[in-house]
Amino acid sequence: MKHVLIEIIRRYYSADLVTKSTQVITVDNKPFIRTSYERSAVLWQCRNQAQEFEDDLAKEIIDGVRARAADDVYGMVEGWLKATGKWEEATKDDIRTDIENQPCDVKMNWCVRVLAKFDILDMREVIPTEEVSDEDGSIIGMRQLKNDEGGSSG
Amino acid sequence: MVSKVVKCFAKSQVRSDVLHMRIMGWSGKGKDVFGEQYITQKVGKFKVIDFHSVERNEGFFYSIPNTNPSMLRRLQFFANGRLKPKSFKNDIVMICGRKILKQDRLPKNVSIRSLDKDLFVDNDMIPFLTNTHAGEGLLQMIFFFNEVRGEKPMNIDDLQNYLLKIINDQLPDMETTAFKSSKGNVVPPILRNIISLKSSGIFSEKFPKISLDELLKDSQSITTISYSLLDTSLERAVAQSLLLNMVVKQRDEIKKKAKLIPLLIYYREFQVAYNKHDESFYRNCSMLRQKFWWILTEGRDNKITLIANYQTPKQIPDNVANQFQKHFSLAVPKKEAESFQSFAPIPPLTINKLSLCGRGQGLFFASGTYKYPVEVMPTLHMKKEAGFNVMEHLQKVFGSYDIEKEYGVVLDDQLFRSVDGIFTLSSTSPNGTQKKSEKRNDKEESDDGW
Repeated sequence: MKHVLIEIIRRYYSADLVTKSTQVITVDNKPFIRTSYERSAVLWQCRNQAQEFEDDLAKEIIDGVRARAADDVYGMVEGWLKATGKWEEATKDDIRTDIENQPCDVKMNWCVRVLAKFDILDMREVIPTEEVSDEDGSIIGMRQLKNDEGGSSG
Repeated sequence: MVSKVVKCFAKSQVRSDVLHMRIMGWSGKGKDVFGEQYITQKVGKFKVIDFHSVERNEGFFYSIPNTNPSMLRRLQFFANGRLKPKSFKNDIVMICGRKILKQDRLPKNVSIRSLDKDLFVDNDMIPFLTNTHAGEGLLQMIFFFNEVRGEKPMNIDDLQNYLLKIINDQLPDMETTAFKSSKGNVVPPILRNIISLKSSGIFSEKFPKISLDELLKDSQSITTISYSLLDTSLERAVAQSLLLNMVVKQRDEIKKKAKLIPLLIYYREFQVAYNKHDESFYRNCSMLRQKFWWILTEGRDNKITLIANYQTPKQIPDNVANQFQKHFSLAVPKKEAESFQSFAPIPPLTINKLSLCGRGQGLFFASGTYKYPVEVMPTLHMKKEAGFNVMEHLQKVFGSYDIEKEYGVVLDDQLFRSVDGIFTLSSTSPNGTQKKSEKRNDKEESDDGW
């Protein structure tokens, strides 16, 4: 399950869906992003992974998910949280109480945050990030490495 | 459940030989969060002084771990458990001022200190005591006579006595003649400013004097200096100028630089000293600007580093900005951000985006390279929120002490006046100086400046 989640979230972020969320269009009043081809490809790869890891729960979730990238991840996370009895704990004290109705980028960030909360994944595994520091190693900040940002000159 | 997979993540180090850093950004974009999280990482490597905690009492919370849920989520997001909320050793020094009269108790980690009058001598006093050429000329002449007589430099008391002698014709003939024309219109405003400063409490004898040894004694702590007990921007300018002068003089005088403890000064609202819109206040800040310039140009050899924050790039002159080698900019106006392109090859697209950055997101550039978009890490210690009662909170956490008992004073209106001999002065002054002084104080209490 964990491997599948990491893979799908990593692909989600590396495909830069989050940064393009300003171009989100809605279908049936729900956020809709990327082409169905890309979503299918991602899902297919994830399903293969699930199979490889013999993760029946993940396979089942993937097979049953609706064709929306963020919803896919959300569906998987929700399914996993409920299946493992962690749903209550995950949603307690969270600023987002209506996550199901949020746009896809908010929904995806919520999923990542919840998974990090349970110490399942490292943010930087799924969101490529570099730590910027000065000469003595003091942290200046974290730079998200996104496809459409020039970023560094050195 | 399988355990967490920990992978190495990318690191990028930007080195710079000159360590001074400027932090820019519109209000509310996260300058102080960045500044505070940055300087706390320097504890142990430098003696860190949060030199200007401004009127909001920023910088009073280093000793309390961060509990803000939103900041903790952000910390978790970026550091992924590697960094945890923590506290730092923090000494808070409040420079004595009339607002102490409104307090009964203070948190135990806060002390009150006044300044030594002998830090404020001769020419150093000029920009604070007069705004006219005539006044400046008079003071220059007085200090010249004093030097010719071979006497020690004049402090504010010596000058006050001398000016009273001018008014009362008690000087030798030559000096009486020299100052005759100033007696009626130049001397009284200077005396008024002297009285105002002396009755502000800055130089009060009732409170312990601040010393550099005390400020620098614990290299593992952050020392916060607050001027929020002072009433006016003039008083704050005097206090800051004298303190910074004290630090710079010590650095300059010690020849064996190897013995110096590396010092890091964090200064908020740096632009105030360069604001030319208020001509008179700009003049009051001349010593402060001189000391900043010394730190920026000589600091490297004297182990002193300045971290300054201000709002937009054009608020300080280019020659000052050029002395900084490390720059962090949160959202600033697009037009002004174009000046960053002279420090690193930053593409116009990035410059355009900078003005639209959200809170805590910005551009870092140093040594000819740049990094964008950089997300600011939250502080590990508590950060003050708007409308928060700082003193009350600190008293709850650290306990409090009774100011009158601790310092052996009575907190009434006579505290600074009687001790400093203001009434004696006013009774000898033929020009109703006392009355004017009070009027001036009334006016300045509404001063919302610095």
